[in-house]
Amino acid sequence: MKTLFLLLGLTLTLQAQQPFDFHTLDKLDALTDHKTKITLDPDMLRLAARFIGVDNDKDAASLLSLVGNLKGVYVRTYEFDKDGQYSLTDIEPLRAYLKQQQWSRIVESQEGKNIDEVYIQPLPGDRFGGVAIVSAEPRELTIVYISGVMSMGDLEKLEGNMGIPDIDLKNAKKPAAPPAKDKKED
Amino acid sequence: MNFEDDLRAALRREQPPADFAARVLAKAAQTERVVAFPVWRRPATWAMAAGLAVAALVPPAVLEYRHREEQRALEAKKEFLFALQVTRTKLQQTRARVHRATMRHTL
Repeated sequence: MKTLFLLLGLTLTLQAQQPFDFHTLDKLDALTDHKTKITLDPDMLRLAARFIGVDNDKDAASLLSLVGNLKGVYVRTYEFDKDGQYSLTDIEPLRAYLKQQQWSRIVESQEGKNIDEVYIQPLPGDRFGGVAIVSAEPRELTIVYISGVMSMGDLEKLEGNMGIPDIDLKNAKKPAAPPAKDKKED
Repeated sequence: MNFEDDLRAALRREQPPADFAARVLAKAAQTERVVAFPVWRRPATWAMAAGLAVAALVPPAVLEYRHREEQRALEAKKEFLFALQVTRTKLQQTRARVHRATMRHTL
């Protein structure tokens, strides 16, 4: 009996640690050509960390301490030509996952047809295991899912500048491939 | 013709010619000289050639691997910064909307 409970507990723990499967949102891909998909798994984050600070990045120390604790960074942005090209049910798998994994919705805002939701996964000791943002506008849908142990301070830093260069999000879609080595920017 | 007689005749013992042993030894000495490997067939030559080939091929391959890893790392960094930028923008946008909603309720 004790073994059964142990196995059940182990199964539930493993299930709880399952990351969200972003393939469940793939049907959005077919709805628009204007999309940006960023998937950074732990290996890619480690790679990224190797180059943070190399180009005299601002707040390199903050960025490094943040990236060191992250397990995954996923961004999906979709732009649509007309209103109503997507439905909120298209992102239901993500919402259901966050609910099932007991993430807390700390912000829910609706302004006209614009819906913003911010979720965190609470952990003991003023820390949390990730942040997820759903921003749904009639012609734009943005999903951010960052997994990894963070503090409230990290979240505040994320909202601040934190050495993140300004990028024109409307015109700059997924970052282009880096320039060739001999043409590397300073 | 008797088959047994023919067979007996064919298998009867015969003495070798007088110079038989000397001819065999001379032939053997000649064969030994022919069997000696040329330089290009010697194992040491092949080992040296393989060593030179490895020495010539490995460093460029390592450099190419490093270069590709560097490119992947730069790409990952760009994507990471872009992701943080999107996050910042969306958090600020959400904060602004919540602030506006709060103001409307207050008024």
